[in-house]
Amino acid sequence: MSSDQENNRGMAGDGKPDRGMVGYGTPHHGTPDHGTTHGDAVSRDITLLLADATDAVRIGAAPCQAVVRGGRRRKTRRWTVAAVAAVVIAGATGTLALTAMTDGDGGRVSPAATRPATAEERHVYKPQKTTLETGHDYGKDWKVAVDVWGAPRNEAESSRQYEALKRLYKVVPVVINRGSATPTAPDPSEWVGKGRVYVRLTVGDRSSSVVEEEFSEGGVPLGKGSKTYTTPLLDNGALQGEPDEKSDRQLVIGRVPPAAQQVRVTWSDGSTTEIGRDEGRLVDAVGSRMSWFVVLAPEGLSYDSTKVTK
Amino acid sequence: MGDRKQARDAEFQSFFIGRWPRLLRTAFLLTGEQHAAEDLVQTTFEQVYVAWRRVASAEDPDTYVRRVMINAHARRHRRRLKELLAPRSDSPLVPELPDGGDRMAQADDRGTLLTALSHLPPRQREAVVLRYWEDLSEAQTAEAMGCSVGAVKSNAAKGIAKLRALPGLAETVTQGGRK
Repeated sequence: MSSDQENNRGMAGDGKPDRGMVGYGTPHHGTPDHGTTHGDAVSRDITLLLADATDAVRIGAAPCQAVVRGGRRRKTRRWTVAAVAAVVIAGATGTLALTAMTDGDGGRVSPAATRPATAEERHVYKPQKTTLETGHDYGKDWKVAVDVWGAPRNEAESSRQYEALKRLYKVVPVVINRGSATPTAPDPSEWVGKGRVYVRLTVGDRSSSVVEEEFSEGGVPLGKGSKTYTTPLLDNGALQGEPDEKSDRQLVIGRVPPAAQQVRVTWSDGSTTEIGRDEGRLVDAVGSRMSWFVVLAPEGLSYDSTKVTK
Repeated sequence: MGDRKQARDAEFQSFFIGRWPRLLRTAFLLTGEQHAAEDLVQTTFEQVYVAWRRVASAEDPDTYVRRVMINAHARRHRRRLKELLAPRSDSPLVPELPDGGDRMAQADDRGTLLTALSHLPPRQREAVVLRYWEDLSEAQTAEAMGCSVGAVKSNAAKGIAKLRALPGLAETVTQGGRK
Protein backbone atom coordinates (compact mmCIF):
# COMPACT_ATOMS: atom_id res chain seq x y z
CA MET A 1 0.00 0.00 0.00
CA SER A 2 1.33 3.38 -0.81
CA SER A 3 1.66 5.43 2.32
CA ASP A 4 0.56 8.52 0.51
CA GLN A 5 -2.48 6.83 -0.86
CA GLU A 6 -5.55 8.87 -0.03
CA ASN A 7 -3.40 10.94 2.22
CA ASN A 8 -5.43 13.83 3.62
CA ARG A 9 -7.98 13.34 0.93
CA GLY A 10 -9.59 16.65 0.13
CA MET A 11 -7.67 18.46 2.81
CA ALA A 12 -5.13 21.17 3.11
CA GLY A 13 -1.65 20.09 4.10
CA ASP A 14 -2.28 20.70 7.79
CA GLY A 15 -5.02 18.10 7.93
CA LYS A 16 -7.87 20.61 7.86
CA PRO A 17 -10.52 20.50 5.17
CA ASP A 18 -9.73 22.81 2.32
CA ARG A 19 -12.54 25.28 2.74
CA GLY A 20 -11.94 26.75 -0.67
CA MET A 21 -12.53 23.35 -2.18
CA VAL A 22 -15.79 23.05 -4.04
CA GLY A 23 -17.95 20.49 -2.40
CA TYR A 24 -16.66 20.70 1.13
CA GLY A 25 -19.78 20.56 3.20
CA THR A 26 -21.37 18.56 0.43
CA PRO A 27 -18.84 15.86 0.83
CA HIS A 28 -18.03 12.68 -0.97
CA HIS A 29 -20.08 10.63 1.43
CA GLY A 30 -23.14 12.81 1.20
CA THR A 31 -23.94 15.68 3.49
CA PRO A 32 -25.27 14.80 6.89
CA ASP A 33 -28.79 16.06 6.76
CA HIS A 34 -32.07 15.85 8.48
CA GLY A 35 -34.13 15.86 5.35
CA THR A 36 -34.61 19.62 5.01
CA THR A 37 -32.80 22.52 3.45
CA HIS A 38 -32.58 24.11 6.85
CA GLY A 39 -31.08 20.86 8.10
CA ASP A 40 -28.43 21.09 5.39
CA ALA A 41 -27.59 24.64 6.38
CA VAL A 42 -27.32 23.72 10.01
CA SER A 43 -25.15 20.72 9.17
CA ARG A 44 -22.87 22.91 7.13
CA ASP A 45 -22.66 25.44 9.93
CA ILE A 46 -21.84 22.80 12.49
CA THR A 47 -19.17 21.46 10.15
CA LEU A 48 -17.66 24.91 9.84
CA LEU A 49 -17.80 25.48 13.58
CA LEU A 50 -16.08 22.19 14.20
CA ALA A 51 -13.43 23.10 11.66
CA ASP A 52 -12.93 26.44 13.40
CA ALA A 53 -12.71 24.74 16.77
CA THR A 54 -9.82 22.64 15.54
CA ASP A 55 -7.86 25.84 14.93
CA ALA A 56 -6.97 25.63 18.58
CA VAL A 57 -4.96 22.45 17.99
CA ARG A 58 -1.23 22.87 17.86
CA ILE A 59 0.01 20.51 15.18
CA GLY A 60 3.56 19.55 15.99
CA ALA A 61 5.73 16.96 14.34
CA ALA A 62 4.24 13.46 14.36
CA PRO A 63 5.90 11.58 17.25
CA CYS A 64 6.99 8.66 15.07
CA GLN A 65 9.68 7.28 17.31
CA ALA A 66 7.49 7.38 20.41
CA VAL A 67 4.67 5.60 18.62
CA VAL A 68 6.93 2.93 17.16
CA ARG A 69 8.53 2.39 20.59
CA GLY A 70 5.08 2.19 22.18
CA GLY A 71 3.91 -0.22 19.51
CA ARG A 72 6.94 -2.45 20.06
CA ARG A 73 6.30 -2.40 23.81
CA ARG A 74 2.72 -3.49 23.19
CA LYS A 75 3.92 -6.30 20.93
CA THR A 76 6.41 -7.43 23.57
CA ARG A 77 3.79 -7.21 26.29
CA ARG A 78 1.47 -9.35 24.22
CA TRP A 79 4.14 -12.00 23.91
CA THR A 80 4.99 -11.71 27.60
CA VAL A 81 1.36 -12.10 28.60
CA ALA A 82 1.07 -15.15 26.36
CA ALA A 83 4.22 -16.62 27.87
CA VAL A 84 3.06 -15.92 31.44
CA ALA A 85 -0.32 -17.45 30.64
CA ALA A 86 1.42 -20.56 29.36
CA VAL A 87 3.47 -20.82 32.55
CA VAL A 88 0.37 -20.29 34.69
CA ILE A 89 -1.48 -23.02 32.82
CA ALA A 90 1.50 -25.33 33.22
CA GLY A 91 1.69 -24.43 36.91
CA ALA A 92 -2.03 -24.97 37.40
CA THR A 93 -1.80 -28.35 35.72
CA GLY A 94 1.02 -29.26 38.09
CA THR A 95 -1.06 -28.11 41.05
CA LEU A 96 -4.02 -30.17 39.92
CA ALA A 97 -1.79 -33.18 39.54
CA LEU A 98 -0.44 -32.52 43.02
CA THR A 99 -3.87 -32.27 44.61
CA ALA A 100 -4.77 -35.60 43.13
CA MET A 101 -1.81 -37.24 44.83
CA THR A 102 -2.06 -38.84 48.20
CA ASP A 103 0.59 -39.29 50.85
CA GLY A 104 1.74 -42.63 52.17
CA ASP A 105 -1.18 -42.92 54.58
CA GLY A 106 -3.72 -42.29 51.90
CA GLY A 107 -4.39 -38.73 53.12
CA ARG A 108 -4.53 -35.94 50.59
CA VAL A 109 -1.57 -33.65 50.12
CA SER A 110 -2.57 -30.14 51.05
CA PRO A 111 -2.18 -27.66 48.22
CA ALA A 112 -2.26 -24.72 50.63
CA ALA A 113 0.86 -23.12 49.18
CA THR A 114 -0.81 -22.74 45.78
CA ARG A 115 -4.12 -21.36 47.05
CA PRO A 116 -4.92 -18.21 45.02
CA ALA A 117 -5.25 -14.94 46.91
CA THR A 118 -8.85 -14.03 47.64
CA ALA A 119 -10.39 -10.83 46.35
CA GLU A 120 -10.16 -9.41 49.88
CA GLU A 121 -6.47 -10.26 50.08
CA ARG A 122 -5.95 -8.57 46.76
CA HIS A 123 -7.74 -5.45 48.07
CA VAL A 124 -10.38 -5.57 45.38
CA TYR A 125 -13.16 -4.29 47.62
CA LYS A 126 -11.15 -2.16 50.03
CA PRO A 127 -8.29 -0.01 48.83
CA GLN A 128 -4.84 0.27 50.32
CA LYS A 129 -4.34 3.84 51.42
CA THR A 130 -1.19 5.95 51.48
CA THR A 131 -1.11 9.54 52.68
CA LEU A 132 0.94 11.67 50.32
CA GLU A 133 0.83 15.11 51.92
CA THR A 134 -0.99 17.12 54.53
CA GLY A 135 -1.19 20.82 55.18
CA HIS A 136 -3.10 23.67 56.74
CA ASP A 137 -4.06 26.62 54.56
CA TYR A 138 -6.85 29.18 54.59
CA GLY A 139 -7.72 28.00 58.07
CA LYS A 140 -8.44 24.47 56.88
CA ASP A 141 -6.61 21.19 57.20
CA TRP A 142 -6.09 19.40 53.93
CA LYS A 143 -4.79 15.99 53.03
CA VAL A 144 -3.94 14.20 49.81
CA ALA A 145 -4.03 10.41 49.90
CA VAL A 146 -3.87 7.73 47.26
CA ASP A 147 -6.20 4.74 47.28
CA VAL A 148 -5.04 1.67 45.38
CA TRP A 149 -7.74 -0.85 44.50
CA GLY A 150 -6.68 -4.34 43.49
CA ALA A 151 -7.53 -5.69 40.05
CA PRO A 152 -10.75 -7.71 39.78
CA ARG A 153 -10.26 -11.05 38.06
CA ASN A 154 -13.78 -11.46 36.70
CA GLU A 155 -16.91 -9.44 36.00
CA ALA A 156 -18.54 -10.36 39.29
CA GLU A 157 -15.55 -8.96 41.18
CA SER A 158 -15.64 -5.86 38.94
CA SER A 159 -19.28 -5.16 39.73
CA ARG A 160 -18.72 -5.66 43.44
CA GLN A 161 -15.71 -3.38 43.32
CA TYR A 162 -17.75 -0.67 41.65
CA GLU A 163 -20.40 -0.96 44.38
CA ALA A 164 -17.71 -0.78 47.08
CA LEU A 165 -16.19 2.22 45.42
CA LYS A 166 -19.53 4.01 45.21
CA ARG A 167 -20.17 3.33 48.88
CA LEU A 168 -16.74 4.46 50.02
CA TYR A 169 -16.69 7.64 47.95
CA LYS A 170 -20.38 8.37 48.48
CA VAL A 171 -20.98 8.58 44.75
CA VAL A 172 -24.22 10.12 43.65
CA PRO A 173 -25.20 10.39 40.01
CA VAL A 174 -24.74 13.87 38.68
CA VAL A 175 -27.37 15.06 36.29
CA ILE A 176 -26.00 17.29 33.60
CA ASN A 177 -27.08 18.41 30.22
CA ARG A 178 -30.81 18.45 30.64
CA GLY A 179 -31.54 15.11 32.05
CA SER A 180 -28.73 12.86 30.85
CA ALA A 181 -27.27 11.38 33.97
CA THR A 182 -23.63 10.40 33.77
CA PRO A 183 -21.97 8.16 34.11
CA THR A 184 -23.67 4.87 33.80
CA ALA A 185 -22.08 1.96 35.59
CA PRO A 186 -18.92 0.91 33.79
CA ASP A 187 -18.84 -2.17 31.65
CA PRO A 188 -17.60 -4.74 34.21
CA SER A 189 -15.46 -6.47 31.61
CA GLU A 190 -13.48 -3.26 31.15
CA TRP A 191 -12.33 -3.35 34.75
CA VAL A 192 -11.17 -6.96 34.77
CA GLY A 193 -7.42 -7.27 35.21
CA LYS A 194 -6.92 -3.59 35.99
CA GLY A 195 -6.20 -2.05 39.34
CA ARG A 196 -7.44 1.44 40.04
CA VAL A 197 -5.89 4.42 41.72
CA TYR A 198 -7.83 7.33 43.14
CA VAL A 199 -6.05 10.33 44.53
CA ARG A 200 -8.33 11.83 47.15
CA LEU A 201 -8.15 15.43 48.27
CA THR A 202 -9.72 16.18 51.61
CA VAL A 203 -10.18 19.79 52.67
CA GLY A 204 -11.85 20.20 56.01
CA ASP A 205 -14.51 17.53 56.05
CA ARG A 206 -15.02 17.36 52.27
CA SER A 207 -13.33 14.78 50.08
CA SER A 208 -13.21 14.38 46.35
CA SER A 209 -11.27 12.34 43.83
CA VAL A 210 -8.94 14.52 41.83
CA VAL A 211 -7.16 11.81 39.89
CA GLU A 212 -8.33 8.46 38.60
CA GLU A 213 -5.97 6.03 36.91
CA GLU A 214 -5.78 2.39 35.97
CA PHE A 215 -2.81 0.11 36.30
CA SER A 216 -2.01 -3.42 35.27
CA GLU A 217 -2.31 -6.24 37.75
CA GLY A 218 1.46 -6.09 38.22
CA GLY A 219 1.10 -2.57 39.60
CA VAL A 220 2.51 -0.78 36.58
CA PRO A 221 0.63 2.30 35.36
CA LEU A 222 -1.06 1.88 32.00
CA GLY A 223 -0.17 5.40 30.89
CA LYS A 224 3.21 7.00 30.50
CA GLY A 225 5.78 6.74 33.27
CA SER A 226 5.30 10.24 34.63
CA LYS A 227 2.18 12.31 34.77
CA THR A 228 1.31 15.52 36.57
CA TYR A 229 -2.12 16.81 37.52
CA THR A 230 -3.14 20.18 38.86
CA THR A 231 -6.20 21.16 40.81
CA PRO A 232 -7.22 24.14 42.90
CA LEU A 233 -6.75 23.46 46.58
CA LEU A 234 -10.23 24.69 47.37
CA ASP A 235 -13.43 24.30 45.43
CA ASN A 236 -14.50 27.13 43.19
CA GLY A 237 -16.04 29.93 45.12
CA ALA A 238 -14.85 28.66 48.47
CA LEU A 239 -12.85 31.83 48.98
CA GLN A 240 -15.59 34.23 47.98
CA GLY A 241 -16.40 36.55 50.82
CA GLU A 242 -13.07 35.99 52.56
CA PRO A 243 -12.13 39.23 54.24
CA ASP A 244 -8.63 39.42 52.80
CA GLU A 245 -9.71 38.18 49.33
CA LYS A 246 -6.97 35.64 49.03
CA SER A 247 -6.81 33.75 45.76
CA ASP A 248 -6.85 29.99 45.66
CA ARG A 249 -3.60 28.08 45.29
CA GLN A 250 -2.84 25.34 42.85
CA LEU A 251 -2.13 21.87 44.10
CA VAL A 252 0.24 19.85 41.94
CA ILE A 253 -0.01 16.06 42.12
CA GLY A 254 2.45 13.96 40.17
CA ARG A 255 3.22 10.35 39.48
CA VAL A 256 6.76 9.24 38.63
CA PRO A 257 8.46 5.87 38.18
CA PRO A 258 9.54 4.25 41.47
CA ALA A 259 13.20 4.58 40.50
CA ALA A 260 12.98 8.39 40.52
CA GLN A 261 14.93 9.95 43.35
CA GLN A 262 14.33 13.62 42.74
CA VAL A 263 11.79 15.69 40.84
CA ARG A 264 11.95 19.33 39.86
CA VAL A 265 8.71 21.26 39.50
CA THR A 266 8.98 24.50 37.56
CA TRP A 267 6.49 27.29 38.18
CA SER A 268 5.06 29.91 35.86
CA ASP A 269 7.74 32.49 36.73
CA GLY A 270 10.58 30.02 36.10
CA SER A 271 11.30 29.34 39.76
CA THR A 272 11.58 25.71 40.81
CA THR A 273 10.89 23.39 43.72
CA GLU A 274 12.97 20.26 44.26
CA ILE A 275 11.21 17.23 45.69
CA GLY A 276 13.41 14.40 46.91
CA ARG A 277 12.80 10.85 48.03
CA ASP A 278 15.27 11.39 50.89
CA GLU A 279 13.00 13.99 52.42
CA GLY A 280 10.10 11.56 52.21
CA ARG A 281 8.23 13.69 49.71
CA LEU A 282 8.38 11.12 46.91
CA VAL A 283 6.09 8.48 48.32
CA ASP A 284 5.50 4.92 47.09
CA ALA A 285 1.79 4.13 46.90
CA VAL A 286 1.20 0.88 48.76
CA GLY A 287 -0.22 -1.75 46.42
CA SER A 288 1.26 -0.37 43.22
CA ARG A 289 4.60 0.31 41.66
CA MET A 290 4.21 4.08 41.50
CA SER A 291 5.65 6.98 43.41
CA TRP A 292 3.74 10.16 43.96
CA PHE A 293 4.45 13.69 45.08
CA VAL A 294 2.25 16.59 46.06
CA VAL A 295 3.31 20.21 46.19
CA LEU A 296 1.36 23.40 46.67
CA ALA A 297 2.16 26.17 44.21
CA PRO A 298 3.63 29.34 45.70
CA GLU A 299 1.03 32.07 46.00
CA GLY A 300 0.29 33.79 42.71
CA LEU A 301 2.15 31.18 40.64
CA SER A 302 0.93 28.23 38.64
CA TYR A 303 2.42 24.96 37.52
CA ASP A 304 4.57 24.90 34.42
CA SER A 305 6.42 21.58 34.14
CA THR A 306 7.87 18.57 35.92
CA LYS A 307 11.21 16.88 35.35
CA VAL A 308 12.71 13.84 37.00
CA THR A 309 16.25 15.02 37.71
CA LYS A 310 17.65 11.95 39.48
CA MET B 1 14.04 -10.42 7.35
CA GLY B 2 15.54 -7.27 8.92
CA ASP B 3 15.10 -5.38 5.68
CA ARG B 4 11.45 -6.37 5.47
CA LYS B 5 10.88 -5.17 9.02
CA GLN B 6 12.59 -1.88 8.28
CA ALA B 7 10.48 -1.42 5.18
CA ARG B 8 7.31 -2.15 7.18
CA ASP B 9 8.34 0.35 9.84
CA ALA B 10 9.06 2.98 7.20
CA GLU B 11 5.70 2.35 5.57
CA PHE B 12 3.95 2.62 8.92
CA GLN B 13 5.74 5.85 9.80
CA SER B 14 4.86 7.38 6.48
CA PHE B 15 1.22 6.44 6.99
CA PHE B 16 1.27 7.82 10.53
CA ILE B 17 2.85 11.13 9.48
CA GLY B 18 0.18 11.54 6.81
CA ARG B 19 -2.70 10.94 9.19
CA TRP B 20 -1.33 12.77 12.23
CA PRO B 21 -2.68 16.31 11.60
CA ARG B 22 -6.15 15.21 10.66
CA LEU B 23 -6.57 12.64 13.40
CA LEU B 24 -5.14 15.01 15.98
CA ARG B 25 -7.91 17.45 15.14
CA THR B 26 -10.52 14.70 15.32
CA ALA B 27 -9.13 13.57 18.66
CA PHE B 28 -9.16 17.16 19.88
CA LEU B 29 -12.87 17.42 19.15
CA LEU B 30 -13.45 14.13 20.95
CA THR B 31 -11.38 14.95 24.01
CA GLY B 32 -11.46 18.77 24.11
CA GLU B 33 -7.85 18.95 25.20
CA GLN B 34 -4.55 19.10 23.34
CA HIS B 35 -2.59 16.61 25.42
CA ALA B 36 -5.46 14.17 25.70
CA ALA B 37 -5.85 14.37 21.92
CA GLU B 38 -2.16 13.66 21.34
CA ASP B 39 -2.36 10.80 23.80
CA LEU B 40 -5.42 9.35 22.08
CA VAL B 41 -3.83 9.47 18.62
CA GLN B 42 -0.59 8.00 19.93
CA THR B 43 -2.41 5.17 21.68
CA THR B 44 -4.38 4.52 18.52
CA PHE B 45 -1.30 4.29 16.35
CA GLU B 46 0.55 2.12 18.85
CA GLN B 47 -2.28 -0.37 18.44
CA VAL B 48 -2.22 0.09 14.69
CA TYR B 49 1.52 -0.61 14.73
CA VAL B 50 0.95 -3.95 16.42
CA ALA B 51 -1.47 -4.97 13.67
CA TRP B 52 0.26 -3.09 10.88
CA ARG B 53 0.73 -6.06 8.56
CA ARG B 54 -3.02 -6.67 8.62
CA VAL B 55 -3.91 -2.96 8.46
CA ALA B 56 -1.58 -2.23 5.55
CA SER B 57 -3.16 -4.96 3.48
CA ALA B 58 -6.70 -3.87 4.33
CA GLU B 59 -8.83 -2.32 1.64
CA ASP B 60 -9.31 0.88 3.64
CA PRO B 61 -6.80 1.23 6.48
CA ASP B 62 -8.39 4.53 7.55
CA THR B 63 -11.55 2.70 8.52
CA TYR B 64 -9.54 0.44 10.80
CA VAL B 65 -7.68 3.38 12.34
CA ARG B 66 -10.89 5.27 13.02
CA ARG B 67 -12.43 2.21 14.63
CA VAL B 68 -9.41 1.78 16.89
CA MET B 69 -9.52 5.44 17.87
CA ILE B 70 -13.22 5.45 18.66
CA ASN B 71 -12.82 2.27 20.71
CA ALA B 72 -9.93 3.81 22.63
CA HIS B 73 -11.96 6.95 23.26
CA ALA B 74 -15.02 4.96 24.37
CA ARG B 75 -12.86 2.82 26.66
CA ARG B 76 -11.45 5.87 28.38
CA HIS B 77 -14.92 7.19 28.98
CA ARG B 78 -16.30 3.95 30.25
CA ARG B 79 -13.57 3.65 32.82
CA ARG B 80 -13.72 7.25 33.96
CA LEU B 81 -16.19 7.88 36.71
CA LYS B 82 -16.99 11.47 36.07
CA GLU B 83 -18.92 11.98 39.21
CA LEU B 84 -15.88 11.02 41.23
CA LEU B 85 -13.90 13.80 39.70
CA ALA B 86 -15.07 17.05 41.19
CA PRO B 87 -15.27 19.69 38.46
CA ARG B 88 -12.42 22.04 39.06
CA SER B 89 -11.49 25.03 36.96
CA ASP B 90 -8.00 23.95 35.93
CA SER B 91 -8.46 20.24 36.10
CA PRO B 92 -6.93 18.43 33.11
CA LEU B 93 -10.43 17.23 32.23
CA VAL B 94 -11.71 20.71 31.50
CA PRO B 95 -11.56 21.54 27.78
CA GLU B 96 -8.51 23.53 26.95
CA LEU B 97 -9.37 27.00 25.76
CA PRO B 98 -7.32 28.48 23.00
CA ASP B 99 -5.29 31.66 23.31
CA GLY B 100 -7.23 34.86 23.00
CA GLY B 101 -5.58 38.07 21.93
CA ASP B 102 -7.03 39.77 18.92
CA ARG B 103 -9.00 36.67 18.01
CA MET B 104 -10.91 36.68 21.25
CA ALA B 105 -14.31 36.38 19.59
CA GLN B 106 -13.25 33.30 17.66
CA ALA B 107 -11.70 31.84 20.77
CA ASP B 108 -14.96 32.44 22.63
CA ASP B 109 -16.89 30.57 19.93
CA ARG B 110 -14.40 27.75 20.02
CA GLY B 111 -14.48 27.61 23.77
CA THR B 112 -18.27 27.50 23.72
CA LEU B 113 -18.34 24.75 21.15
CA LEU B 114 -15.65 22.69 22.87
CA THR B 115 -17.39 23.03 26.21
CA ALA B 116 -20.68 22.07 24.60
CA LEU B 117 -19.05 19.08 22.94
CA SER B 118 -17.47 18.00 26.20
CA HIS B 119 -20.91 18.01 27.82
CA LEU B 120 -22.36 15.68 25.21
CA PRO B 121 -22.44 12.01 26.18
CA PRO B 122 -19.49 10.26 24.51
CA ARG B 123 -21.54 8.40 21.91
CA GLN B 124 -23.31 11.58 20.81
CA ARG B 125 -20.01 13.42 20.65
CA GLU B 126 -18.47 10.63 18.59
CA ALA B 127 -21.43 10.60 16.21
CA VAL B 128 -21.34 14.38 15.74
CA VAL B 129 -17.58 14.50 15.21
CA LEU B 130 -17.50 11.58 12.79
CA ARG B 131 -20.50 12.79 10.80
CA TYR B 132 -19.82 16.51 10.70
CA TRP B 133 -16.06 16.78 11.04
CA GLU B 134 -14.80 13.51 9.62
CA ASP B 135 -17.55 13.81 7.03
CA LEU B 136 -18.44 10.13 7.14
CA SER B 137 -21.68 8.65 5.91
CA GLU B 138 -24.07 7.16 8.45
CA ALA B 139 -22.95 3.67 7.45
CA GLN B 140 -19.28 4.55 7.82
CA THR B 141 -19.93 6.21 11.16
CA ALA B 142 -21.81 3.13 12.32
CA GLU B 143 -18.86 0.98 11.31
CA ALA B 144 -16.41 3.21 13.16
CA MET B 145 -18.57 3.27 16.28
CA GLY B 146 -19.46 -0.40 16.11
CA CYS B 147 -23.20 0.25 16.25
CA SER B 148 -26.25 0.36 13.98
CA VAL B 149 -27.04 3.11 11.48
CA GLY B 150 -30.15 3.87 13.53
CA ALA B 151 -28.05 4.45 16.63
CA VAL B 152 -25.81 6.81 14.66
CA LYS B 153 -28.80 8.78 13.39
CA SER B 154 -30.24 9.03 16.85
CA ASN B 155 -26.96 10.01 18.54
CA ALA B 156 -26.04 12.55 15.88
CA ALA B 157 -29.51 14.14 15.91
CA LYS B 158 -29.56 14.41 19.69
CA GLY B 159 -26.03 15.78 19.75
CA ILE B 160 -26.77 18.42 17.14
CA ALA B 161 -30.00 19.38 18.88
CA LYS B 162 -28.09 19.96 22.12
CA LEU B 163 -25.42 21.99 20.36
CA ARG B 164 -28.05 24.11 18.66
CA ALA B 165 -29.79 24.73 21.94
CA LEU B 166 -26.77 26.56 23.31
CA PRO B 167 -27.42 30.30 23.12
CA GLY B 168 -23.99 31.29 21.79
CA LEU B 169 -23.91 28.54 19.21
CA ALA B 170 -27.52 28.87 18.17
CA GLU B 171 -26.83 32.44 17.19
CA THR B 172 -23.74 31.50 15.24
CA VAL B 173 -25.49 28.65 13.53
CA THR B 174 -28.50 30.66 12.51
CA GLN B 175 -26.17 33.31 11.05
CA GLY B 176 -24.71 30.72 8.75
CA GLY B 177 -21.56 29.99 10.71
CA ARG B 178 -18.90 32.38 11.78
CA LYS B 179 -17.43 34.18 8.84
